[in-house]
Formats: sequence, structure tokens, C-alpha cells
Amino acid sequence: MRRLDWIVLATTLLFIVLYGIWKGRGSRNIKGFLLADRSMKWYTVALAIMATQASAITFTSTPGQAYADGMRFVQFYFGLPIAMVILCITAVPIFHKLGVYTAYEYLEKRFDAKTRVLTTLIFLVSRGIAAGITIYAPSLVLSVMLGMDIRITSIIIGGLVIIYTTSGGVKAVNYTDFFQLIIVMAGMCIALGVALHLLPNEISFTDALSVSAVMGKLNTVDFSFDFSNRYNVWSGIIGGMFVALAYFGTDQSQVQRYLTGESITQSRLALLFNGLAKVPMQFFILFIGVMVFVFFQFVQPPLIFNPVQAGKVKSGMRAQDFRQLEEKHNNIFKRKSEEIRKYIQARHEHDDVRVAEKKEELQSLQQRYDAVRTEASNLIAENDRKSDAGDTNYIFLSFVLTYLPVGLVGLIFACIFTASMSSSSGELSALATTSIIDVYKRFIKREASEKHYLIVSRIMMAFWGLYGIAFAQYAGRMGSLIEAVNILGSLFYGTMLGIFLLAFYFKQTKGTAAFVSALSGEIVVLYCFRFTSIAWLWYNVIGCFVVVGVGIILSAFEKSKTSGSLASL
Amino acid sequence: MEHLNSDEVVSEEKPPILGSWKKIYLVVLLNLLVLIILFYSFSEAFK
Repeated sequence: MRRLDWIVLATTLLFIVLYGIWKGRGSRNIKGFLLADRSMKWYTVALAIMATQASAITFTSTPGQAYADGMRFVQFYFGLPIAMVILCITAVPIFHKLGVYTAYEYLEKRFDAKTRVLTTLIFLVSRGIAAGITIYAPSLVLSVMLGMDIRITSIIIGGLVIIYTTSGGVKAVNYTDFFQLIIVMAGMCIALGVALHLLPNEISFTDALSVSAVMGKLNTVDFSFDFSNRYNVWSGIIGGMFVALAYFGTDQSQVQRYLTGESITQSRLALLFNGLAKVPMQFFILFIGVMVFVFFQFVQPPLIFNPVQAGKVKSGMRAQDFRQLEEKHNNIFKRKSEEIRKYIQARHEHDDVRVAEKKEELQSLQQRYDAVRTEASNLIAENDRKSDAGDTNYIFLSFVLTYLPVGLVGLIFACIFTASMSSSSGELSALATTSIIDVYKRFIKREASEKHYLIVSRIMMAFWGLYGIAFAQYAGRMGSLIEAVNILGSLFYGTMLGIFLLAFYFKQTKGTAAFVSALSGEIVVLYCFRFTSIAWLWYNVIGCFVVVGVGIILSAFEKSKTSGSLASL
Repeated sequence: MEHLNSDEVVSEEKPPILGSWKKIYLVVLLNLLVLIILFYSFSEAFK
């Protein structure tokens, strides 16, 4: 990065922090600090919801994923709009009318204290680890790409978030999220524009689309039903809906966002806007990755986009093997580039026979190309067993650093820092709110002044921020932690969703039945995890069904017992 | 109020457009359907 890039990066980050402090000023009680006095308009809440969900990894990894695997990942979001509608009908009016601060507070009102404690603990453990990862993962990518120590990148991200969240609370979080998402999307639009602009002059937009389709990158919709295929329309609608219901309906980091809406209408509009905009947004981010892929059909890409890992292999025992792979990779690239030009020419000449011939050739070359990249990833994994052998997180940033003009590089890196800060701030404020409302105020100090709770809230925000930074310092030593966190989340999300469904829809279910059914659901999920080969995405569905099923049976049993004892009177 | 669940909450608030929440929900779901059809057509067009 050049000096202008650093200036753009520093100015953007400084602006966000100052803006957060300014917009968040004036909170004099915990309702203001933790719920923004329930005064937010739908558009601020909507963008805050989207910014919290879209972490920095969304913007670095998603284009890389499209580069490597095509656009089929978009199907994962097909269930989200349905989940938004369900939550608008159920969760939003209930939470608003009860005036709760957290989703778990509602569970005590509906069931009992033990159910609230159970869900609070699940949230604090799973979201606590995820909050650490939210700081760690982009810190790692940024440290590699900027050549900085990961301690510095994680301290910058975590430190800036602590400054404006402790100062302005949720109001600061929501307002900065709003701006952060706008900045990030503007940056992504510019990146797409540059990728298209950098294509060779003779390649039109439709040529670019045609090339990406031939290489299998426009695989947006797959109607085949297959349990082993993670991304198809059905798994997206069913599995994606369960994940979105659990995340937006039971995870305080999202519930808190729409609880700040000034009315049920404003909160509903915010969620519904997310339902309308999320799928096109993901499509757009994936599409950037596809255009970066097309760009790299004409400009030689590196064999592996992670420069640190590539450097390690080159200086290690397998350096010779890696160089051979690089040579193979370069040769295939040259052939592929030539064949693509011939394919486009055949297309322009409407020579269908040659088009079909070149298509086949290109697909076979792409397969060989992918195989070489897989071999290189295996070498990296062999060379450093603790490393992340995949390089999808680095593809987009490598393109940005190498090919974007000065100034824009700084802006895109500012976007990545910003995206990381927006999701971290949402998580930290949710963790602090749950710690205060569901633990401190409920079990430690029930009666105290507003000033006291406000001070403790600020301390909690700072505590969770410092915890996130500390986590980032050690996360690298724990191996493939990110996958472990995803699995960990799936172990609990289904149970959480099941409890909330019992609360919303099954009037006859009481506290003990809900608690026992939650434990049953958790046991079944843990059994599946330990003793079966069921893919972890399905744990959400299984956990939820077991909790609801057991809850219904226990409620029916309790009801018959009660009517039996009444009859004997 | 303490045992509030979904069938006990009837929101009196009208949406700012379309007159009823049901219609807005329908728009969101139709939008999803249209997007799936568009994505499918987009993939097929360049196959």
C-alpha cells in the first residue's frame, strides 16, 4: 500500500469512530445505552442488521469462494426471506410488547428462570467464541496482506470498536453499522467496476459471462435434491430457513438490533428489508468473485494466493515440488488463456461446432488447473499442519492489492476493517447486554441506580472487547478453529430455536417441560455429533425437531396428569 | 401478559404501504420466487 492508501484507510477508520462517539452521545440510562431508547428508524436498523451479519470474512472470502466454486453458495440464503416473515409475525410483536432487553429475558417471563439461565449460558459460550473469531479471522487475513503483525491488526479492530461501543452503546453501534455497510458496498461496487474495466478490450461483458459459465462459475441454482450436496435450492430453503430463524430469532446479537426499532412497524420493516435485499447482495458479492475469476483468465494469477504460506513452502523441504507445480500451473494458464480467446472468436463468428469443441477443451483445462491448485494446497497442509491450506480468503484482496489504483486500495482495506468492526461491535454489545440483564441485574445486583448499571454496562462492553482481542492473539495456535466454531454453533442453535418455537406456538408448554425438552434435544444433537456421520448443518433441524417433539409430548402428559388429579378431587 | 405467545399478540399497527402486513409478507416471498427464477434464467442463458 502507498501513502495515499494509508491516508484513506486511517481517515475512514477515524471518521467511523468519531461518528460513532458523536451519534451515541447522551445515553443516561441502560435503556438508552443498551436499546438506544427504542428510537431507531427502520432503515438504520435494517442496515445495522445486515452489517452485523456480514463480517469482514463475508467480503473477503465470498468473492474467493465464487472464484473457486462458482455462485452456488447464494442458495444458502434462499431460506432467509421466509425466516424474516415468520419472525415478523411471531418474535417481533412479542418482544416489543413485553419490553424485554434480551430474547432470554422473554423466556423467563414465558417459562421460568432455569430456561433463561440455560439459553443465556448457551449464548454467552457460543457467541463469546464466535466474537473472538470475528476479530481473529480478518486480523489474520489483513496481517498477511498488509505484512503487519496480527497483534497490531487485531488491536486496531478491537480497540476502535471498544472506543465507540463503550462511549455510545447500541446507538453508536447501529449508526456506525449503517455507515459501515454503505462504505463497504460502495467499495465493492468500485472493485467490480475495476475488475470489468481491466478485462482485455476485445472481451465484452457478455463474453465474460459466457466464459464464466463455460468454466462452471454461474451455477447459481440447482434444483436436484441430494442430502450430500450442501448447496441446492432445497437445502437452501429448508436448512437456510432454520439457520436464519435461529440466528435472527434467538441470537441476541441480531435480536438486539431490531429491539432498538421505535415500534413494531419499524422493526418489522427492518427485517423485511433484510429479506428483500440479502439474497441480491450475496449474489452481487459472489458475482464480483466471478468477474475476478474472468480477469485472472487473461492475467497470470499466483498458484497460491496466500503469500505467507506460498513463501513457507518455497523455503521448506517441498520447495522443488512446489516449483514444479508452479511451472505446470503457468503452462496450463497460458493454454487456457489462448483457448478462451479462440472460444470467444468462435462465439462471435457463430461457429457452433467450434464453440462446442472449445467448451469441452476449456472445461478439461480448468479441471487440470484446479487439480494443480489442490495439489499445491496439499503441499501447504503437509508443510504446516496448523495452517489454513485454503486460499479463498486471499484471492479478492490479492486482486485489490495488485491491480487496483492507488487510493482505492486503501478504500477497500478500509471496507474490510470496517466490516470487521461492524460485526464485532454488534456481538460485543449483545454479549455485554446479556451479561448485564440476564446475569448481573438478575442474579448479582437486582436493585441499583441507573448510573450504576450504566457504568457496569460500559465495563462489560470493554471486557468483551478486550476478551476478543486476547482471543485473537492465541487463536492461531488452536489449529482449524473456524470450522470448530461453526460446528459448535450448530450444536446449540437447533435447541435454542426449538425452545423459542415452544414459547411462541405451544401455549400449554410450561417451564419444566421446556427445560427437559431442551436437554433432550441437546443430548440427541451431541449423540449425532459423536456417533453419526450426519453433516453438521442438519444438527439445527434435528435439535429443533427433538425439542419441539419432546416438549409437545411432555405438555400432553402434564395436562392429562393435571386433569386426572382435578377429576379425583 | 407474562405468558404471551404468538396467537395472543395481534399487532394493531398498520404498515406504511400496501394496507396490510399480509400483503407486504407476500411481496417479500414473491420477490424470493422471482429472484430464484431470474438466477435460474441467468445461469441457463449463458450455459
